[in-house]
Amino acid sequence: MTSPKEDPAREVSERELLAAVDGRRDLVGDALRDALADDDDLGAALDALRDERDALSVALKRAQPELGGLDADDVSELVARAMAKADAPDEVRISPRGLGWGALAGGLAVVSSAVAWVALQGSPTAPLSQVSQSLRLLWSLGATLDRVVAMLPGAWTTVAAVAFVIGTGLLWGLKAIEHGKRIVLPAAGALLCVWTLGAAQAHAYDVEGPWPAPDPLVEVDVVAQPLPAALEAATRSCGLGLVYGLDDTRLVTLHAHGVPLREVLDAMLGPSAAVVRFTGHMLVIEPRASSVGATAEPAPANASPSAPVVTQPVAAAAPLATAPVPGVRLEDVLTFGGDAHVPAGRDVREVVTMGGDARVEGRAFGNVVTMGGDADVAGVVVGDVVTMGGDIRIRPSGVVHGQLQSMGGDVVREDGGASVSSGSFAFPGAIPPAAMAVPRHEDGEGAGFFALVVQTAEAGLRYALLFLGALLFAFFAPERFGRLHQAVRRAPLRSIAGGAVGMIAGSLLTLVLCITIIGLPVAFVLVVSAFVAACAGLATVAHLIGQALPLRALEDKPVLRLGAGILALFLVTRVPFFGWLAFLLALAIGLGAVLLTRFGRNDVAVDP
Amino acid sequence: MLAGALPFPIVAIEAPSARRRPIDEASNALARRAASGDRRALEALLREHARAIGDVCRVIAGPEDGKDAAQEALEKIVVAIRSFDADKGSFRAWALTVARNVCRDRLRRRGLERRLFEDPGEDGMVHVMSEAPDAERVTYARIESRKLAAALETLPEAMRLAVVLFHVHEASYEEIAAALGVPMGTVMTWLHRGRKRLRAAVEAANGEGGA
Repeated sequence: MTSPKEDPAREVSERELLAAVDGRRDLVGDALRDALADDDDLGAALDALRDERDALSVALKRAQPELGGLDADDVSELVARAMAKADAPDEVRISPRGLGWGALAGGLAVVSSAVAWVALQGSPTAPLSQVSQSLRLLWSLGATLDRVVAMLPGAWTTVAAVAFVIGTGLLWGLKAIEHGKRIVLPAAGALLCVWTLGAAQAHAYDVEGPWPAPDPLVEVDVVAQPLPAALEAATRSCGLGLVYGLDDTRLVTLHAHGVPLREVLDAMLGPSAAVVRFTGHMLVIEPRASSVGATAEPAPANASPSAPVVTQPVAAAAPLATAPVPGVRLEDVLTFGGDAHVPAGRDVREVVTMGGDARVEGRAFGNVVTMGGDADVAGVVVGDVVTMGGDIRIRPSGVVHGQLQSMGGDVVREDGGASVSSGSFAFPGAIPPAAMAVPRHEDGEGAGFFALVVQTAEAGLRYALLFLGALLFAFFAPERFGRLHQAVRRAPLRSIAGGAVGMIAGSLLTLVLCITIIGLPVAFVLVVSAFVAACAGLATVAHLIGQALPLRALEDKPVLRLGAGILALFLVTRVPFFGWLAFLLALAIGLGAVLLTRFGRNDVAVDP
Repeated sequence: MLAGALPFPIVAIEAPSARRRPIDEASNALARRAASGDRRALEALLREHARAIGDVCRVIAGPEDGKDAAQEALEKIVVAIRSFDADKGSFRAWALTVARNVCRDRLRRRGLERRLFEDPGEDGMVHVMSEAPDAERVTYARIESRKLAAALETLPEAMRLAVVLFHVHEASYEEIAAALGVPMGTVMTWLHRGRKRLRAAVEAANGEGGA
């Protein structure tokens, strides 16, 4: 006879027995369940074990002070210190060793991506060319905007007033987001001064009609000559005649070698209330209609009478690029919400559409700019073709002398029925139909892939530079970096809102400052500050992304986190469309954190 | 009669109490509020779990460094509370895991890293009836706290920690396993053997006291 204690059927695993005692039915096997169902003694035994367990729990809790654990004072002290941490900036400290390794890795990434980019471009000067193209794009947009604004009643004065109202409203909005008070009044005052002065000074001289492309280069040296004589020497050097009808005969000294004519005019005419017109072989400078009789500056005592100075073009001068019929006054084509069409045989100056497509079959001597529409060129465009949110399509008969810039759209060249599609390209210089092709690759698919590779290499370079900059920022200003970090974490919604408002207000302000001559230095400072702020903001967001990545290897390694976050941001922004949105979101939230914390100087409260 | 009609045997096993659920929902609700920026919820959460964190740190980092490690762990929890995902597990398990990682990092920095949680070996078989304690043998109710603490000290560190987390801090098997980074079966073995050893130690202590 076997006693119950020796019955093999009563043998169960330690774990099962524990689970049964602790009421974890889900962990009890069938054998023990069966045994319990059959045997009341077994149930009683488990009850006894449960009682023992409960008694042990009570005894251990009672004995807690003897167990060497934290007492109530310890708990209060530790919790108070930890809660103080909740109010302190996030700690993102990079050790000198981490900086060294990070700089090495970042440097290698910069060099390799730069080499790849330059190699893919096929020319070491390609990056510089892109910079010049970007500057030209800005110039084209500015010039187009200038034309559009000139059509409005009050022109730039109206724009300045509206911009002031909008800008002030945006700043108030920013203040409401930030809960600060000190920025608004000084900023609004400064804006009022800048915009009022700027509006008064904006483009004191105006250019009418098409401007020669490429801009003629001036080669001249004159010392202490009256302005008309200096201008005559300058225009003669480019093979142009001059008609000068201003009263301004101040003495000027000019040394210009290979300087574009437009720059020379900017420097010499400056604030004069004049109109400059290019007729194909002559440059006509005359007083602006509204300011005839109101002299911009008093003529010097030794000034000559204000009779127009007329000089003839140099006989041997070569004809310039495509030019309109001399004497014909060109019109701008501007549409809001509709399409713009320049039919064959018609000559116009600028073509600007907002919310509509532009189709050029005739000749446009200025730029073709569409916002939210496509541009279709079957004729001739002397200036640039720029689309924002639309495609550029160049027909087989289409000729563009300037650049093609499509932001958020494709550039499509039709060539005998076949079309070449690409992302966004700039083609400097005159582009005859036969020569206009995507660089390096002739076939459509290859061109698209090649463009993608070039863009990826370029983006890689930018992100590698961002990593290096972020590394330096986090190393030399860890507290500020920590505050930015904290701001994004604590107030993500307000950061996004602040960033969005900041971007709109900054763009508006920069635009106005750029167009008003007097505001250019301020605009430069603003652009540089915005660039630095954007980099700091993106670095912050990248670090947070790195922190959120579920990788054990990144824990307590800020350099690796930063690198991983920037890599993740880079990869996400490579995704078509969504990537652009993700980048904008990251930029907005990062920039917002920078604005809310005053570049990491102040703490930010938690979002309500 | 009814039991015979059922397709499964009726087993008289105590239903799991709220405190023994794999996930402590009350703490998780508090943690959600803390993660959304509620300072009071965060402070309440820290107060609730500070002792358990302190015990984990004391065992892993050692008695000298335990308090500093607990401080660092609490600060990490404050900083990282937003990354806590209540859908993935309990706050207690997460917080104790943070504490364990902090302790390991501290040990690693000091070159003292060690393998703390050894596998207890195969799950042993026991005779259920022999496991049942006699009423005369179970004397936890009368034992002095000092003696109980001394008996607890005789257990291996990992086993002691599992017993303390379960019996004092009311952590579930799953939470202890997650916090210590070991399989749940290991935790169960530790608990089972820990109770057995404690019982023996207490009996021995009582015997000495009575003698």
